[in-house]
Amino acid sequence: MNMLEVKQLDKIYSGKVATHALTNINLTVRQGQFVGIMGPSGSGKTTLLNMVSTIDKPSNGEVMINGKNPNTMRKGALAEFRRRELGFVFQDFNLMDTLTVEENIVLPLTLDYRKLREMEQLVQQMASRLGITNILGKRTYEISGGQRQRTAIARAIIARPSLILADEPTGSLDSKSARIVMESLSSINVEDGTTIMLVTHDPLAASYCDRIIFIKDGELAGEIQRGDSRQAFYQQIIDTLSSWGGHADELSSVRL
Amino acid sequence: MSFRQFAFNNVRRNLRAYLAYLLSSAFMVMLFFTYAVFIFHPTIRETDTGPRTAAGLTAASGIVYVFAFFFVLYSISVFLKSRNREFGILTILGTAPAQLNRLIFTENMFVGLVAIAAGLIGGFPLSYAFLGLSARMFGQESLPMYLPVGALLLTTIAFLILFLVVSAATLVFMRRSQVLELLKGSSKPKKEPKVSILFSLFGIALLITGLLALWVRLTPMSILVAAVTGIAGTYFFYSQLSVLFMRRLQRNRSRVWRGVGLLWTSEMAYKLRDNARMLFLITVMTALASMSTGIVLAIDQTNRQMFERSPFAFEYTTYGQSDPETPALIRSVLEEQGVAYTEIEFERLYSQIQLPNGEEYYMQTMAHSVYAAIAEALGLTPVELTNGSALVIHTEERDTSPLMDGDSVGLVHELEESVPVQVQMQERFASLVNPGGLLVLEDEVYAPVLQAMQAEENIGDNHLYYYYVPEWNAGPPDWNAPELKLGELLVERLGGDTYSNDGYLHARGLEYAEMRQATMLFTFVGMFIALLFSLCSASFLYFKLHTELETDARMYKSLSRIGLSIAEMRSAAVRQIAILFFVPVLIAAVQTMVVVRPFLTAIEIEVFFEPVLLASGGFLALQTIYFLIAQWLYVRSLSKVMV
Repeated sequence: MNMLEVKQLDKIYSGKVATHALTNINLTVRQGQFVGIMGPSGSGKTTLLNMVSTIDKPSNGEVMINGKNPNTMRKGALAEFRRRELGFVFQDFNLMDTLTVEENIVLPLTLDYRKLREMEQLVQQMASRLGITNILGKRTYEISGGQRQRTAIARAIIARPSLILADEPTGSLDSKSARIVMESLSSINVEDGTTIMLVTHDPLAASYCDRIIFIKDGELAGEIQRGDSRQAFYQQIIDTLSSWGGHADELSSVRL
Repeated sequence: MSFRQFAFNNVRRNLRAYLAYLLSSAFMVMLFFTYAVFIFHPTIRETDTGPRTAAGLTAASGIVYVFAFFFVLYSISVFLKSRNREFGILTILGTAPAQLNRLIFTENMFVGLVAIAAGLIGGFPLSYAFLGLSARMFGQESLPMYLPVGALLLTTIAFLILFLVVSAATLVFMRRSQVLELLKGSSKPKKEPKVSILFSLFGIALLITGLLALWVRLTPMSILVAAVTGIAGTYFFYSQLSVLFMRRLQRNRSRVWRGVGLLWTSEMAYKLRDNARMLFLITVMTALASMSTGIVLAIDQTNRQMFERSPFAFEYTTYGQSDPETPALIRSVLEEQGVAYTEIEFERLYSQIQLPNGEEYYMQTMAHSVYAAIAEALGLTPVELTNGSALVIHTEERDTSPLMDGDSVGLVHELEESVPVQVQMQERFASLVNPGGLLVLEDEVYAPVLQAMQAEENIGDNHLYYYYVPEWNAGPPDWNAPELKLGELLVERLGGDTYSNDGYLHARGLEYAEMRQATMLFTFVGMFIALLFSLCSASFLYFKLHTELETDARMYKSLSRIGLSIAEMRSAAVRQIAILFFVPVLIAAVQTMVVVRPFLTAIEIEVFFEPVLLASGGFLALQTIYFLIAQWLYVRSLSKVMV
């Protein structure tokens, strides 16, 4: 079954100079897949992710998530759709400073008026899964970046979404935290069968995916599948990137 | 682009951010100018109430000025803090601190000049309306608009100095921060607001002390204690109690973990703490304004009641000897002006009576013929007395006369006989009768009692002359009502005074007008100050909201990405704005209720709820308007960032 279908997607930013951000993107993601999107800065990765995450509207073509087209929805229904069907993980975590870790995780459920006991159970489950049970009462500024990102992941999965969208989740993390975060995402993908779409610059983070789609200048530029070994896949990613740009360092892992 | 142009462009392009601050400053200039126009008005000082009014307005404009000073200082410091990032960038680009100071100073002066110009331009129509209104209120002939050179100069110079001083002061106060800190701006996470249970309890103790001080016994000392503890307690209420309350609320999961509850309660704790000082100021100012307004309104209403309870336009009392000339003069003036009247003449007599329980008692006593004449003049049907009975009239429910219908009283003098009485309640006799009640005797019984009293107690001849003018009883007189004109003429003919060696003239219209003029002045000045406070507090609040808008917008935007709908955003945001706008007014209303009650009781005013509700309700209505505007603007800006 296809979780995500992107058909003939165009995105043009009109203005004094019209920018073709995306041109004729066709993409299908099966349920349970862990897909990475890679490409140089300005290639349109984030634009694609924004279309899929219903934050932006395509100029042409359509995006179907779990058989539904979010672009035809009214604003209120769209917010509900995001809350229930999609889970978001961002580079800068997007946690609320005014809430504790526990409250941050439970926030999407409270907006849906879920039962208190159910919410408390789910928070405990998510926290123990991501290893953040002992910091549930803390504020976001009291914990490390890796812990913050795990909190954000817990918030993203607590409503059991059908699709998780991660935008550079390791972008602000050190390598150890990045590894823990990617392992968490990977285990969610394997154990729950949740579909994940990951946008990243980092080949190491991308090596956790099943499949990687490359975008360059707004167009699909290639695709590779993972074999058995993650190390081999990492090498394959590096090779592909080098063959594309000519220079591997063109794809800096630093993103501002 | 020269440096000055750069500063000018900064202001111009930041206009949206500067606007709230600019408007409130302009408003203060406008208000100050309006008062100044009034104070400098050439015809004001010629009238007899003019100087008093001008003095009141001078005080008011002084308050405006002091208030404007703090407001501008506070606004600028908040505003500059929100521009830290910009200053960081300029510093990185190599701007010297001295240049940065010059930039800020120049920008402030630009805004100041625009505010002064806008305030003066807006001040012309406002002062025109103000002059017209005050002419009507103070019963003066119309006050023509004039070219207010003095007012213009005073306002411009005063506010130029103000902006100069404030601009210089901000430079001193501006903390030199590290460039990195400046660049990060307000994106640093806010620390959790700290509260202490001890301080909260202390706050409650202060408030209770204030309450007890006022309600147990009202002395100057207790007023002072109540003011100090009340104000301090209010501060603790905002800085500790309210935050503590929000925190407690936040822990109540079954209540808060529903809908937007988590969102707004957590944000609210921060907003309350951040704005505690401002909310405290607003509360104290609003409370003071509505207290004074409430008291003034209560006095005004009592004055009106007193007028309505005296149906006689003039009352003349002689001091123990006969004085036929003054009543003749009053009659002649009334006739000269062609006013229809009824004159009632009687002696003031307190006769000694014996109550059924044997106690002796002095009661005001009147002959039936006089009573009947008064009743007829007032349009009442007089009660007839049949064979030797008497009538006792009460004017208030709580009169202390110990007599009941069917009782008998003994007339101690002369006859020493017992008379059966009937008791009647008649409010319209209030101005004629003392609270002890009035005893009406048949004429043939009254005459000997009077003689006996005069002979025995040597009380002299206290004659009373009451003048009833039916056409003047339609309600309290306007400033140019014939009753006042005639009263003034009468006083003039009497030699300019209501007192003389022979007697005392009581003219209810003149007394009413005099009182009203005093309260009017208070009301007028008070209302304008109150209006200023309320407007300023609203613009303070909006200004604070506006500076926090950027942070809030970032938060709501990221929340909207994970599925917060616009309706949910609105309900979370509006709730917080509503609390910020209405809590101070409601707290102030409660404080007004608590404080005004004992005050009014102390000055023997019984009307209470109506004036206080009117004053507090006025503030509430104004605040509601501001709230509606503020929340509309706020939600509108936030809606734009929702994806």
